Amino acid sequence: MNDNTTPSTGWLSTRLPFLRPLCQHMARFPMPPVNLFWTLGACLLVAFGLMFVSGLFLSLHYQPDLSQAFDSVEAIERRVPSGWIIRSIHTGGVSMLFAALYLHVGRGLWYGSYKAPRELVWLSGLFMMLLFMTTAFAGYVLPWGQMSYWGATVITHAVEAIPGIGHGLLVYLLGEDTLGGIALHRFFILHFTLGFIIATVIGLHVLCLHGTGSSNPTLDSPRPDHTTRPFAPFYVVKDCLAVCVFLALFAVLIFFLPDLLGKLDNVILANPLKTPADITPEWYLAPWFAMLRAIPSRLGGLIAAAASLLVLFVLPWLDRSPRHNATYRPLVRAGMGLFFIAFITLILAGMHGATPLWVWLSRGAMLVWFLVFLVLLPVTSYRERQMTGSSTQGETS
Amino acid sequence: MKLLRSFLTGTALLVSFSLTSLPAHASSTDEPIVPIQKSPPPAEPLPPMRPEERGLMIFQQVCSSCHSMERAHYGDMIGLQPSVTALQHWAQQRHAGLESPIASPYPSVAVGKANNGGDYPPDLSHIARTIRGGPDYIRQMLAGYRPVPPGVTLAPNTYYNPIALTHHHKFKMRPPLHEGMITFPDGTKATIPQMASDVTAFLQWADDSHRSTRHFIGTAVLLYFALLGGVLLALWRLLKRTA
Repeated sequence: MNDNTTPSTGWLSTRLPFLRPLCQHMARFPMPPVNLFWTLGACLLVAFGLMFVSGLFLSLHYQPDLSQAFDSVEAIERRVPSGWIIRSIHTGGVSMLFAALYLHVGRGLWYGSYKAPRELVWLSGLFMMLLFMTTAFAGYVLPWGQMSYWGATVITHAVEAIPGIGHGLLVYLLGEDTLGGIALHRFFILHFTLGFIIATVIGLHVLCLHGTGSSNPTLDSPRPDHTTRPFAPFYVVKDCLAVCVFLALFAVLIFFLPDLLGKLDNVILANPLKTPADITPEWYLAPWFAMLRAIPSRLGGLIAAAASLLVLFVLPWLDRSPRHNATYRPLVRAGMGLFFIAFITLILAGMHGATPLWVWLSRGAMLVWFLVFLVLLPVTSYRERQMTGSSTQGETS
Repeated sequence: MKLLRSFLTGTALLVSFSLTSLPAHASSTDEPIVPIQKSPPPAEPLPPMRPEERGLMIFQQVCSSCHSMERAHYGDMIGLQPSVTALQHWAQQRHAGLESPIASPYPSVAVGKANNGGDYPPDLSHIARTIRGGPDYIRQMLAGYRPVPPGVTLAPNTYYNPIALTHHHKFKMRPPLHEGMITFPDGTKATIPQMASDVTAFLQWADDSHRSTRHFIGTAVLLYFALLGGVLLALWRLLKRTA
């Protein structure tokens, strides 16, 4: 096991000769002295695994049909043996997954994990975040309750704002003029398929990470720590411990606080003739819903929401400073802090009614979002590069 | 040998006989013989019913004569009424089977409205969660009917209920509960507040029937993770020290 050069003798190793080197690579993978924020990836992996498995079991009983969808969900809750527990894992898991996902992305922002040479890790991760958001949205439509229907109506009709082709595109995507049986079936296929696509992208994400290795949060500190440890057993145990805490929180959420996240209106069958009093999205999509609402023009809102995500994709090229860790970059530290506050403000704004207060708060938060990424980061990075006197030093990790 | 054995069995029989009949003998000598009274067997204490079980009885006998519970099937009530025959009987009375949803007794919404002063009795599947005020509201509203105060005139088929979420306390649901209308097998007195509280417990159960199981499993899961977390923490600290 420890010797790399001995020829493989096991049955499986003879047939899959790369298996043993791969395991050894994984076990010996050198890890810099990372902190507890680096365990979120493992939590996400576990959360995704739970979502995937529970989703497969749910799909055995779910009927993607206009007249049966709602009843099949009720049947899962009431009659399918253990269906209620599988469904609560799936519906509670999405919140846990997004909480870990946003913390994971936030960690990447704070510690500059997006910088060279880890651009591919960052881009694949962002792409995965978009896939997760799409999957979550499609999944939320499936129970066909009031909030499913009206949330989906509001969001799909944002497509209509695209000039010229908007309405045609919407009808093409929905398969008919309004949100109905064809769209429901498509949402189910989308939700189901994206699960497998995400599984593949997770593989790519980990592959990209293993090309360059984890970033080192101590590099910019006055006393950089260059020691590394092999991934096994220390980081395996550390990740397991974090996963254990994560799953305990998960259990508290689904077993003791199920009403915290459940929308009341979604236990009522969708009724296209009756709009609920307030259409609120799930918290993890609320920031972009708040953006759609904050801009008076529909097209403007759509562009702003899309731009807020796209700006994250160009981050590695906006911030080319050799410094990574925001803790040791005073301006970036303030900027990132403001960005996190803005993000939370947008979540709250999206979940509250469109009162002038919340609309203006979300406008302010959007301004912070774009100013931090488009102005503060490039300017700070330019100054830092001037200070270090070399613009190419950012290429070394 | 044979004699000895028969003697032994004889004495054993005698001893056992005298032992079993001893108390009877003693009592017959002390007291005059009284004829055996054909009294009913002492009433066994009936198993106490859970509030939601009593609530199901009220739902079966009262609520379901106007309201539906479409999302639940007759058979789903097996959690509260373990007798399949009783459930089957109930379902058959309503021309349904165990696998049919607990449908509205009215053939159409119009008929339902016409029978209830113009308001259709809402479906009760998730009412405990969806109604404004939740279970507390239901409990108080059901016991909240009052005599019409002087100066208030009510339209026909309208009832006075200051708690109901309705216009000027004028409520279209006729007072569903009356003192002593149901005889509970466990001897609970069918007072209006008692029945209101029981039927609310039932509606909460109908909305979320896995509540107690969920809490039990949740506790077990948390204990498991606490144990596992402790072991992992110890291991982590050990590795931190050695490596």
